[in-house]
This record gives sequence, structure tokens and C-alpha cells, in this order.
Amino acid sequence: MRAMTYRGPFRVRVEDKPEPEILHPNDAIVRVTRAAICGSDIHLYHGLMPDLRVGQTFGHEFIGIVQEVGPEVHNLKPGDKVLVPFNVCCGTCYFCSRGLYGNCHNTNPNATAVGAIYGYSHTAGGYDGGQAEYVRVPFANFGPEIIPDGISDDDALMLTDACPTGYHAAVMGDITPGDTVLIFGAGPVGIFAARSAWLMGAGRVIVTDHLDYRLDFVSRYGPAEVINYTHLKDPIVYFKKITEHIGADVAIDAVGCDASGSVLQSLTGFQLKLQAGNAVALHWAINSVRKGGTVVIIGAYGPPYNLVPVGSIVNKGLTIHANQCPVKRHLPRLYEHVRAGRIKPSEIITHRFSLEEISEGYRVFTSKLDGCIKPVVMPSAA
Amino acid sequence: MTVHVPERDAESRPAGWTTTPPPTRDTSLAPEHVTETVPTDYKTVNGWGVDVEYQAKYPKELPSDVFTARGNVDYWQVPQDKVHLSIEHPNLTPVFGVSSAPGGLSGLLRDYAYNFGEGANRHWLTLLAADRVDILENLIGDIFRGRPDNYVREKGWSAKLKYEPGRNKRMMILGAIALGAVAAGVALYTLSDGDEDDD
Repeated sequence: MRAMTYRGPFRVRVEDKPEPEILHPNDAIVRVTRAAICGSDIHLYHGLMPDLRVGQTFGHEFIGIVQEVGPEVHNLKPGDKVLVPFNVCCGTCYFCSRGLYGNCHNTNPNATAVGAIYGYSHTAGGYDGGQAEYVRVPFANFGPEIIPDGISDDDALMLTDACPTGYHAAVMGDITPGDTVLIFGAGPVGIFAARSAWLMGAGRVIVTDHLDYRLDFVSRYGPAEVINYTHLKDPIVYFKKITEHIGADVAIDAVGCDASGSVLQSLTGFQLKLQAGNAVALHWAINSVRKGGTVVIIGAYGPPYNLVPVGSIVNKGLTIHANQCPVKRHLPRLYEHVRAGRIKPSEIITHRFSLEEISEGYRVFTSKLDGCIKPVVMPSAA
Repeated sequence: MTVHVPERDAESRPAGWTTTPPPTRDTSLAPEHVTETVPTDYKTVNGWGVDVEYQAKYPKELPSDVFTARGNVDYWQVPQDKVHLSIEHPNLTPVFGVSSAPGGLSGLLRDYAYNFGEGANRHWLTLLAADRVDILENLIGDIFRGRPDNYVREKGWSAKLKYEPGRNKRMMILGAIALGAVAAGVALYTLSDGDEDDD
């Protein structure tokens, strides 16, 4: 089959790989019909995730048709059209039984601190992802869901990660009616977090980024107040000033370790690899939120550590909420929102590439070319 | 910022307090701050507040009677290649990915890294080093396998040329000038060497 493979930082190519096989009675093989490139794939693309091996296929956002199932898979059959949440999870371990599907203990031998994710390095379990013609889906009785009526393929694709992750960020914010929510990052997750914050009752939603075209999009899609932080002398002082010098009630880091905005963080995180990427968005979130407020970390960070002001967390009495989104827990509610027109996930899709063009897709997304917000990959066997 | 002492009559004692608050800083928005897309009455935003109850009732963890790490597992995937296992796991997980089996010097480095727990810097930093070695090994290995890396294609530079033609043309022209200058320098140096030999 044809599959995207990682070659090194900033380099991917499409090559022939053996088709995946059933390796466990609960496995399924899915023929991918649509995949997406996620903002967190960019962390991989930049070589920031440890134990990222040459030859791995990325892609944790995909939908497809069930091609084959293992002998113990009873919830799916060949021909079913499914969306596959990005979490590889068993549904029965200590953590899954508590609904922590992003923290499954039975699917990632390489690390206990990281749940398993399709196509996201061996630190996340070593699974090949969905930017390919076929993909192996473990624990198929639990993970994948048949796409329900009223949900389009593009909406379903966005419901595998980006939309639920943004929604989960707002849920983790413990927003109370009238709260001011400040979101760092106007990428897909930040956009969905802004939309979701209103559903939770926010009184004010402010999004900041350095890309005007993304701010323009989220200002209408959220809607949201937007400000390009590159126009600000000191973003933290500005966010305090426009919140009556109190600070936002909730600050959401929807950027993660690939941020820009600090020379020191970039030098130590990217060039010198002394920390896991650039943590300036988290740094700003901690400093911009009010005392007693909540900071949500939904942007992806890799091990081992980052430079953030821990003293301010203590001295301000902050609550930190962070986790990978347990996609399946939010899907029933999100289906309702999509059907009711409260969230339109597919509207963020701006580009489509064939699988053979995926290196161009990564370049367009990474370099923010042509107004790209969300690129979708169409495998040739689709 | 400096807070200036208010002027006062030299004869009078300075007041220790006042009922007039000090001047407050400006709280106006920056000119670039966009607000007009948000309705004045935020409660009219599509879907406002419909999940207030959902969120309030969302438990971080669901109740469970599973108290072992693995829970009930019926089947275990059998490794066909080496699988690295975190030393913080009780045993091999029931399933695991088989994307890229370790090998070569990078594989030895990974073997070393997995001797240490996830709290140890040498675990992660050794893995990062192994990743760089792995890239070099595959770069060389793929030349011998007859499918060498195509940097231009793999880096997606065609997209840069397509969507940033002006900027990339400038870069190409500057690159050509730089290469030409280097070539001219080498040629001049070689010729001058030849002249000296002739003498």
C-alpha cells in the first residue's frame, strides 16, 4: 500500500509499505477514506517528539471503511464506515474504566506517562497512522464508531480529534457563565475551543495568535475578540489591562510546544533542545490568568520538561487542567451540536491534498501558506 | 513606572491619606483589537450557555471497580520484533505498535535509553540522540537500497514555490549570485595558482 513516511525533521515522503495485518483478535483493518494533518503532527514533523523513528506513518485523524476484523470484534463488520478517535484505547484498564481514554494503560508499551496515539512516535505506542491507504485499529470493539446519520464525512473527520479536543479544552476550563476566556492559538483546536467556550456560557472570548488570516477566521467562526500579539509591546500586560487589571478567568494554551513569540524559548527549545520545544504560550497563559483562575493545557508537549513559571502557579493559586481529550466521552454531545448547527466542524477545512502530494501538504500547513487552516489528505484507494 | 508625589504647600503637613483614588491606568483596547464580530449581548451568540449543565456535571473520572493496571485482558499480541518496554510497566501491554523495529546503532541507543525510567533525563535525551542517528542510518542505507532521499520533494519545496513565488525567486537569485561568487573565487584562485607555477 502507499503510505506517508517520516524521513527526518521537515521531510516526509510517500512510499510502498506492507498492508497492516490483524495482530490481535480485537484488531480491525480500516481502509482510509479521509485523513487530516493535525497541528500536533507538526511537532512530529519538526522532530520534537522523542523516539520518533524513520519510516513511521503519521496521522491520528482519519475515517474509513472497515476492511477486515479480528475474530473477537463483534461491534463492527467489513463495510462499516467508521470514524476512529485518535486515542488508541482498550476501554477496560484502570484508566479507561474511569473514562480516561487518553491515558489507556494497555496500548502503549513504550511509556506510561503517554497514552497511545495513532502515528505519533514510539513514545505514543509505535502505531502507524492513517495518512496511508490502510491502517490497523486495535481494540476495534471499543475505539471506532460507525458514523451516525446526519454527520458528513468531513464533519466526522474533524470529530476524530480537532473538534473534540477544542471542546474538551473548554470543558476543562470549568467556565462559569460570564467568564472571560483567553485562548492562545488560532489553529483548529483554538478555533473549536473558542466556539465551545460560548456553549459553556462564556461572557467574553478573546483569541490571540500571530497570524492575521487565522484571527480573521476565528473572529467570525467563534465569534471572538481577536488581537495579533505581535502588535503588543507586552502581551501579558495588555491582557491584564483589558480585563480590568484582574486577568482572564480561564486561559487556554491551544498552541503547545511549537510556539513562537520568545527568542529565549525558541533558542532553548528548538536550537539547543534544552527543553521540549517553545513553551511561551503556556508561560503567557499562566501569567495572563487571574489569581485563582484556571489554566488549560490542551496544546501538545513532549517529554521531558519545559521552562514555565511554576512559582506564579503557586503564588496565584491557579488550577491547572490538562489532558489528551477522551474523544469518545464527548462524541454523543458533539453529534447533537453538529446536527443542531451549533458547531460546524468541516468549515475549518481549507485544503485537500492527494496522499502522493502529502509533502506539499505538510509544507503548506507548517509554513502557513495560502491561508491554510486545516488540510485534508485523500488516500488514492479512497 | 514612577508614582509622583503630589505637590503640596510647604507650610502644611502632608496628608497621610485621601478619599480620592489614585489615577487608574488606561484600559482601552489596542487599535488592532477586533471586537465587532461579537454581539454586544453575548447571550445571543449561537448556542450560548447550552452546555453549562453538561460541563458542571462532567466528571473528570467515572466511577469504576477496576483496581488493577491492566483490568481484564483476554488476549495478548505476540511480538515479532524487538519491542521496547518502559520499566514503569508491570509487563508487556496487550497490544503495541509495530511501525518501525529498532536496529543499528540507533537501536542500541534505544536499548540503553529504555533501561531508565520516564523521570530520567538520560532516557529521553538518549532517545532524541537515537532519533538523529536513525536519520543518518536511513539516509545512508536508502542510498544503497536504491531509493535515496529527494530533499526537494520531501521538504515540499514545490509548495513554497507555488504559494510564495516572489520570495522564493528572490532566494533563488540570491543563491545563484552567492554560488556564482564562490565559483568565480575558486576559478580566480586556481588561475592565480597556475600563474605562479608558470613563473
